[in-house]
Amino acid sequence: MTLDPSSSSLSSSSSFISSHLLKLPAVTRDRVLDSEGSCQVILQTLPPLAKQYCLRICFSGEASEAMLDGWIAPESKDGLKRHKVAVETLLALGIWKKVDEEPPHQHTQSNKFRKTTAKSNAVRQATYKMNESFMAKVQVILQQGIRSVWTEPTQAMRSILPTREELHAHSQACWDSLLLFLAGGEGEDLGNYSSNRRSSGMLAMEIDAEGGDKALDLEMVLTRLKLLERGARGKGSNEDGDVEMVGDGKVQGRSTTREGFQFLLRPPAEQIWTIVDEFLQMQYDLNGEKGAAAVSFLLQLGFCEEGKTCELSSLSGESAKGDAMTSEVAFALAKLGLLYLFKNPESKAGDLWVLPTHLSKLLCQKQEEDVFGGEALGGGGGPASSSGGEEGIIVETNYRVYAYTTSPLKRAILELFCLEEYVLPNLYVGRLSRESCNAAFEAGIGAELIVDYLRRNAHPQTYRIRAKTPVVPETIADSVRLWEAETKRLAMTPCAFYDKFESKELYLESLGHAKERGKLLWSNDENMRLAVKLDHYNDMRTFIKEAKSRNA
Amino acid sequence: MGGAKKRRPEEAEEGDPAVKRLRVTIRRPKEDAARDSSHLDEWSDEEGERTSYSFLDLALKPDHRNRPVWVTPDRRVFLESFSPLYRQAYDFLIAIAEPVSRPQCVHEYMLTAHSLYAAVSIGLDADTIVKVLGKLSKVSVSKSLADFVHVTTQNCGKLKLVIQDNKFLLESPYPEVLREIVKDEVIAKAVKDKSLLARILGKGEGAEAAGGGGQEAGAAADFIVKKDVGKGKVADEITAIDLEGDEIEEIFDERGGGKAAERGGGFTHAIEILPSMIEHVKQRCLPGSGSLNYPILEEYDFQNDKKNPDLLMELKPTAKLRSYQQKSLSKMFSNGRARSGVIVLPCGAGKSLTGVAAASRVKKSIICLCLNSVSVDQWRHQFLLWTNLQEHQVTKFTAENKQMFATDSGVLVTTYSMLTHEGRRSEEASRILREMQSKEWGLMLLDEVHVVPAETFRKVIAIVKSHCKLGLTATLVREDNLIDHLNFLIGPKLYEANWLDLVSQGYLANVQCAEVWCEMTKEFFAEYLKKDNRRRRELLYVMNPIKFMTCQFLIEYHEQHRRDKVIVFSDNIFALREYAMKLRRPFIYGATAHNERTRILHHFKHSSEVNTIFISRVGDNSIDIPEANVIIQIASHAGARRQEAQRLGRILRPKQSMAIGSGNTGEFNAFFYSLVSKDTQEMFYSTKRQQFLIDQGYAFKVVTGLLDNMDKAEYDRLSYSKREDQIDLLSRILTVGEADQGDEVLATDKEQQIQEKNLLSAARRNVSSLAGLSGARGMTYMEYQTGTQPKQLSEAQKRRNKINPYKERHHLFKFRKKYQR
Repeated sequence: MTLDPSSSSLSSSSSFISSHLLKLPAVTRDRVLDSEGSCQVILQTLPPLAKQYCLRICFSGEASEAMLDGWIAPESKDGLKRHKVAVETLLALGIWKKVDEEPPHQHTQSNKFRKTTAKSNAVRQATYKMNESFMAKVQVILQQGIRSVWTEPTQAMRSILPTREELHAHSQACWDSLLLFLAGGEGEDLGNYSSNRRSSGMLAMEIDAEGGDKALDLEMVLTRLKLLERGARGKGSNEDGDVEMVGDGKVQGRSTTREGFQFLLRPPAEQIWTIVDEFLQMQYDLNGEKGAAAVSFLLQLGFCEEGKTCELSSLSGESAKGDAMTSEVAFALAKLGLLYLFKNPESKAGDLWVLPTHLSKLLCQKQEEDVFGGEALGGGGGPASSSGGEEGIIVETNYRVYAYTTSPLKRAILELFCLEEYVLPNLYVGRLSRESCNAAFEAGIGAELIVDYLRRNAHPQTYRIRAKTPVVPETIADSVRLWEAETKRLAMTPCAFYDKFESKELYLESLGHAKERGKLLWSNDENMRLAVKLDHYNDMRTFIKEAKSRNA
Repeated sequence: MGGAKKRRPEEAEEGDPAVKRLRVTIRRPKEDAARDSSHLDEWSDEEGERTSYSFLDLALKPDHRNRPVWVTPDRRVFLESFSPLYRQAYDFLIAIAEPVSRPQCVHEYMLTAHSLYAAVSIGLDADTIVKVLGKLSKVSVSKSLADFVHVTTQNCGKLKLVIQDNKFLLESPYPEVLREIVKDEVIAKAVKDKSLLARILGKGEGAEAAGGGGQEAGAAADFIVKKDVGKGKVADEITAIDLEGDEIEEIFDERGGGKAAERGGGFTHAIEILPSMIEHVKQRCLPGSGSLNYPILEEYDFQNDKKNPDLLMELKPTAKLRSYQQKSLSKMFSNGRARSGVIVLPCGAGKSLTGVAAASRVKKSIICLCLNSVSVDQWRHQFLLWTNLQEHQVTKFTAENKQMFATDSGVLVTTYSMLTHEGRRSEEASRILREMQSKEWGLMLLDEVHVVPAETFRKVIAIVKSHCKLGLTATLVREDNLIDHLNFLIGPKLYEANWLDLVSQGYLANVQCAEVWCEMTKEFFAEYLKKDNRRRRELLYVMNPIKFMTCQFLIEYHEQHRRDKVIVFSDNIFALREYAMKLRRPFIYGATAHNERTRILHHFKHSSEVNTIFISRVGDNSIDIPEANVIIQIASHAGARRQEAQRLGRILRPKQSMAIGSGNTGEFNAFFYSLVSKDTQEMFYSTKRQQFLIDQGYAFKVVTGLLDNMDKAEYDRLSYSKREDQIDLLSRILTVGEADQGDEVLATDKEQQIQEKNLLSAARRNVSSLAGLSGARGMTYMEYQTGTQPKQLSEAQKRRNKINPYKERHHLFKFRKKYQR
């Protein structure tokens, strides 16, 4: 019983993390509920009403349909709607199960559910049962309070840990280098990936990055996501002989796809989830135990408090296999900059400890927050950025784009649709032009995406100055859209062209045939010429042959 | 990651690499070679093709967030408008640099030789400029930039041109400078006393040979030596106020001390120059290739001028100067003297009051030059309105009305063409002219300086000897390269107001600019594409029925729903007439008689019956119609940026209903529509035309499909909504004779004549034209040279010449010929 998150009413308000949970197979989801940490986190992510419902029945463990209906607040306007959402969420996450007198039909369950709530006096009473493991965990939480595995770092740890700013810069650099690779800004290739990372002023991690490289094959992830394409370019580009284009456009036999370019402009939380999600799917059989452990690891990471740390092994859940797997995941995430690994200086065993970064927070970000809250990353850091100063993009009515940034990644991204004019230490000056945007459109980046990116990353001052008007001037946004619309005025369709028909009859017959099939593109009665879609070529040929023989 | 679409493999191969980092090279217009002197060459290496300017190696100051500007080594300056130091930084930058673009958040400026010359002329020196830039800049100021400032300004301010006893004197506190420049051929020719020249040259060489400093005193003695009188406090009031702030003030003290010591001598040396050579001498001394690079400052110590009679002239207490008017005047009079130059204020921002106020400070005889007799009346009215002068003290000198004030001093208002007229003059006119020539004028006010060709200025300056010249304009841009002339003919730009600031302060109307895209109808576009119709293209896109309907719709909307007053501009006379006749609205063009014009304008202003008028190019500059608040532009003169700005200027004066000072940003109270036929040449022109206004911070909203969502009945009501009517119109257009379809070329009055000349000169386009004053060194103002353009223009020229063979004749005869025709 997997709900499609996009069609469900849940998705609008839910976080990336819960939509990820929804995608998991039921078995895995149940396993995730085995871990106390995960249960805590899941309970926290639930919509308020669902949370309340859980707590109401966490000791009885079940509720009848009639009882539930009684909980609907009649005075509130959207009470029924919220009630439905809450129940649906709980069912979808497998926290509740619907038990019916009839044998349950998985596929019709949700439909039936709606029906039964609609007529509240239904004869057959359905009951909702709570997942037992979840119930037990919630009871523990209620009785003993939340036991967090996260603790403040000890004095000894502090002495070796990076400061908040250092950590921020480090994790940002880790993540940026991935995007920069995709943007092709520095012409990096993945082979140099880790060495470049080290040279670009990142913290020398105590734990060797090799571990991360082994754990996470980024190229594989990117290729599987179709963000990256393998293989050399076609002959076409060689013939062009444009050295610059070849050098920039392709990275040693790999090239960024249209989706890849689009990906660069997406909100950071979405980017992170796309990568992490794919990584988990690729690496672990999500039906297996490992998958569940990985998910609960992510859950706990996403909901930790800032600046707190914990031992890696305490995150691995109860299962024995979890340990090895958790460290694998941890290495991979460390490579992405989602967390920082270090050895506890106080313990001789050299147990690994985890320090989450500002990026791991994005794991549990709500999807809707993302529209304007995404400035925390965006490839360069937002107002919270530790590099100091206000960062962001100012778009002017004279088509200028001023980006306050020191990040080469951000420059590389802007370069996708702007014409660079000046680069100063903390300022990028570019111009939006028809040509530069056309280049972006052809690379697959649409006008909406460009405008969205500029809006999401707008400089804080522009919100103040343009309090009443859009932060990206309307005229500029319109222009970009108009430029895109212009590129769509002509469409190319491969076609087969027919000329010199033997007779008017044959021409008319062929014309009729093509019309009938809806494959006719163009015709000229005077000269007896017509063009049909190329995919109709064979069909047309047989038809004309037959017609000829018939006429003969 | 939404919507991962499957693509065809060949598409991917073709598309991506080409697209991904497609680098478009910016071709920067080559610096005007004639202007850029050889000593600047080391800084002009970046010209030509370059993709971008990377200055990552500039050091970022740790407290960069508190500083408002970036200064690049290639002389560009970016200013944050939201910085707390914005006001101070803006006032400083506007004094030393050309504004390139001033939108809402980040302004762009350019340091040029001319702008630095202007800076020096208002009393700033190189060290101050570099130091203050350093204080304001977030990044370190590069050495090359500092060097540029030093080299450019080192000779500024060493030479001054003064008029004394009707004689032109070139004076300098440094005799060695004078000695050096007279070695130049042009200057040598201009020196009046040739024997003096010979002596100086002889001695100069002697001095060099001897190498002794002792000679200097001897050589200097040959010059007219006079005691340096009335040297006002150098400390510049504006800059001192501008750069408040503890650290910055220090520099000023330092500088003041240095200057005082430098000028300690207290003697100035002078040579007399022939009046006819003034302009050559000035041009020779400007920074530029092969020139001497001793820019001449013109200052007028009017307070100590005892020779010329004072004019008892005071501003009335009702005349309140706005802050920007005061600021511009303070730049002009900063050290107790009046300096020549140009003040740039947007249309409707009170240029006339600024001019009148300047006149009332100088308090000597004033001559005021304007474009046409309508403006003459307006200027005279302004003088009488704002000052205590009596009717008889403010006289007009026009074709209809030749008067000269009878008192010792007064104000004379005239037109450029009256002074430069070359034909026979009436006795009275000649007498007045002689009188003008014999007088020493205190101040010459030059209205709309951007319109007048350099040739006219030359003549004017040769005829009228004035101590000080003040040019007034709204748009210091031209499509030809004549703007540069202003620099030596009048003086540097003294002040340029920021349009957006004035809008937000409520001094200007808040205009919504829109570019309305009108689809061409199928039939019209088919004709447009035909090769045979190349000459009719303009007419086809102007007469596009969709455009007509859009125009009608907008007129009716504004008349009925908002009770607005609408002006429709068309450069094309055929279209003007067609539109006006069809829509039954009055129209004015060059051939409309003066009384007819006055009548129409009167009705437009005062009657609720006439709410829309159609007007040709004649309305661009001269006609003052404060009532109008909507402009619809259906045809315009190719890519002229100035025309666009001037037309916008017709509606910039805030309406009565709007209280001044209560800037209500975000609410539009005036509308500017530019109707453009889609997919035609007009689109290209339109983009180019808007550039000036976009750089002032205006935004053109593109409106598409205005008529698409209209009621069927409403739509059908519009003229030409039926296909038969459209085709009928088309066939009429296709049979129109060539003479009737073009732009307005009839020369019927003097104003037209000037415009005519102006047009002809506008045809001389070249890529390197605009620089310096207009700050157009960037790609912003690039002139596109398409293959067909020059040819078309020359054709247009020929046509004009053919139609108008009587241009050089006296206007009386010209009329007769025309009527015979």
